[in-house]
Amino acid sequence: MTRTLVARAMHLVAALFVVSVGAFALFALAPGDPAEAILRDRNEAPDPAQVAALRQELGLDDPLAVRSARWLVRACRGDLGHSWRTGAPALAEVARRAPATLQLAGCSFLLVVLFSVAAGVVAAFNRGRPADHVLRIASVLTISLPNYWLGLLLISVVAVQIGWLPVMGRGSPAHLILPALTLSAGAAALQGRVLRATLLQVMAADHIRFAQAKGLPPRVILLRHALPNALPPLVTMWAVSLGHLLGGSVVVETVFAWPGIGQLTVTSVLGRDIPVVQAILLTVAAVFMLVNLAADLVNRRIDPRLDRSGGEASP
Amino acid sequence: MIGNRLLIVIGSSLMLVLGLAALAAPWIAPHDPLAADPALRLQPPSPTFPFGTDQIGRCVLSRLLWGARLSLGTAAVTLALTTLVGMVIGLAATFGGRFVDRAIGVAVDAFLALPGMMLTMVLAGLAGPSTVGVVLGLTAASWAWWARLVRSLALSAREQEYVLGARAVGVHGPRLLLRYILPQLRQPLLAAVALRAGWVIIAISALGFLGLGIQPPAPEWGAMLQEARLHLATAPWLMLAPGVAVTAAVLACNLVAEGAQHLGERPPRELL
Amino acid sequence: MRVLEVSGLAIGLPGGQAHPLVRDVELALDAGGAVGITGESGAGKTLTACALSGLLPDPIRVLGGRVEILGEPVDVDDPRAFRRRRGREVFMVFQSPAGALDPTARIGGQVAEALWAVRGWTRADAHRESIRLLESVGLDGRLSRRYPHQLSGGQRQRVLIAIAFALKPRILVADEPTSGLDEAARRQVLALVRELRDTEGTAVVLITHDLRVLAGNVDQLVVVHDGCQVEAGPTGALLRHPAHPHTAELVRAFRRLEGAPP
Repeated sequence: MTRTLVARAMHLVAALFVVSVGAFALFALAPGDPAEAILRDRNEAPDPAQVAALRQELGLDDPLAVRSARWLVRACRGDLGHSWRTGAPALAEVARRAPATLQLAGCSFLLVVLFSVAAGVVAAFNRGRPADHVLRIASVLTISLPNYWLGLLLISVVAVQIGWLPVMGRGSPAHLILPALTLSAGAAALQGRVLRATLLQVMAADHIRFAQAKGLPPRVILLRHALPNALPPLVTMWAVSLGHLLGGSVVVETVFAWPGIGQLTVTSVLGRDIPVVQAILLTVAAVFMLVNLAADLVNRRIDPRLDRSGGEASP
Repeated sequence: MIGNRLLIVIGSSLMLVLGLAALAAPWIAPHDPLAADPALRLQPPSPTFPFGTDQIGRCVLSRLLWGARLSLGTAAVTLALTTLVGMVIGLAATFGGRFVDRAIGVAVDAFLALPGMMLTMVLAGLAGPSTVGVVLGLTAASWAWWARLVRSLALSAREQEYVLGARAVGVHGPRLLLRYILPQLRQPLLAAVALRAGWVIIAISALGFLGLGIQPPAPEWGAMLQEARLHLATAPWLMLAPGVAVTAAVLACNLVAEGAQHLGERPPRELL
Repeated sequence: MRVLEVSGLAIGLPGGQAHPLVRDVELALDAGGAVGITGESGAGKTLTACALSGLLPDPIRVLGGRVEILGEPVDVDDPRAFRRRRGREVFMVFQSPAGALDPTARIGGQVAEALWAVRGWTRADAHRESIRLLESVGLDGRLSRRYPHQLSGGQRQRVLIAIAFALKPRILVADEPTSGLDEAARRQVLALVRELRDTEGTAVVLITHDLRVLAGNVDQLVVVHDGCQVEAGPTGALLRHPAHPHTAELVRAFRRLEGAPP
């Protein structure tokens, strides 16, 4: 088990390396002169001498290879540069916004799991009957709604017309409701469908039939034989979902003025604050990979076939 | 499951209607989508302006129709490009040997580790907000998904018994690809296109919503929604029209995808 | 004592009464006895076997006839009628052991389940007994910690037999229990089935197209052809003097394979 784990970890490190290279490439390839942009942001009219001096200071005139190596070394130490807009360390900017996104992500993830499990189980156990069809149509409709439009609709109906909930920003738990609902709707519908399909597939398996032949009570079949086989694809799906949620939803955070990483991404891209964009990309990718690695480990425990070093006999 | 054909028919019909409306925009739009008349701003729907006017007096319906051209056209181009790139890379991973496969696998994992919208936004935003930027950004953000799909489809296609037989006889290279592998991929890829089409349309309008996509004054649906935000209470039709348009287009794609996915499924076994 | 009685069994799709997939099946089995169901592929042997434990693949149903298990009739119209009778009274072993065992559960646990979930043993006793049972079918007790994909085909088939020993069903329905096994494994499996009959009085319904397996292992034989039961009788007599032309054909084909003169 450890050998495959190490291989997997190395694969992820390599992928993270690619992300860093990509992130650095953004820096190198983005149009515009970074030194000029920094100076302009500090509200100083940049004259060529100042620009040249700043470029020298930032080492922007060194060959590409040197710059990329330098950036990588600094990145490993946790120094991802400084924001061109605020001057604060880029990583610190991301860290500052992290709690808001974590809160929204956690809340949305809970809603997603709850709704998708409910919808999936109900649809699977009622397949062919009206409840299944209704859920199917409802899911397709929900998936088709752009989440920013859903957010706007919720805002205008719930907040503006009826005035129940706060519309924007972060503060009381009530502020969480609309953004979390908006964020979780599409994913919940989609995952509900996957859950339904997985459950049906598992229940149709031969070994379930054999478990029935053995005379096992339905509850035992469900808990000991159906669930462990249905879980791995679901765990993977949840890991991907959580991983992406932790990256902050660019769109939903903008609609609800939620001060998280997503909003930071928008302002940084619009403002061409490359170091912060790089920091975001790296941290989001790293978090995603960690979450998926954890899910992988969980799955190996549940389904022993995935763990290839357990000693296979000849067929 | 029952009704799959019905879903596909409804979805395709809706797509056809929207596509035709988009194509016919220059002829059926009642007004010039860019013609602004501030005196007529924020008017509710009326016979002259079936969907009302926006904040600088432009006809919303005309903008919707021309916006359809933009969104659907850009989506089509993006899908074509992404599928092509993804296919090439996916096939390269399948047939290029272990090292190539590993290398591509690392790159795919890197790209897939980032949320789609975030990656799209970063790439499109930095490429410069424009239609080209949108297409390039979306392609760069979604090639990984396609490459992974094509790779897994090609791998299982390659291991089919009749293909193994052909390989044993000595068929290889382009001939193997064209006559044995690619035909197997056609149907699942078409289903995947229907599935992704909806996402692409949403992504394009989301970029427009954030100001990073097709720039105003072009009548892009997402941008129109952003403009409508300021007038939520006073002019609700401004927010409804483009939203319904996007939803309709995406719904059409998703209906087809949903129907296609379950087509040919037999009713499953009695549970317990 | 009569444990199984089947008369006029018809199987098919609901609404397809006019064209049943299987019809006219008659079976009578006493405790400790064995009946073989044979015929060419696609004749309807497996469907008949599935019907005996209520595990017909949806949407196929029993369309008519009587099934009596241990003297009590089973409502053939209710797919759930068999639920409480499965395991302890009727136990069916499927054709491919590969799919029968749960890939995510250890072998020992799957044997022990039969004891604690069906026969009411305590978990501790069940686990101890499961190891003993695995050994009694010729497997190393240490395999109980392994998973199905780590066993060979023959080993998996023997695990199924171990489960049968655990359940001690009154009726065992075995669908092609020896297909895909080598000669030695086949002999072992058949010997175990014999042991189950002799020690526990289990009645066996053996489905196979392999006449080698039937000769000497079952007392009576039922021949099915094209969904219809064409002949039934004591094994020896039937094979030596087949009455129905189809049975004769089967015996001839079999003899040709064996190299004996037709």
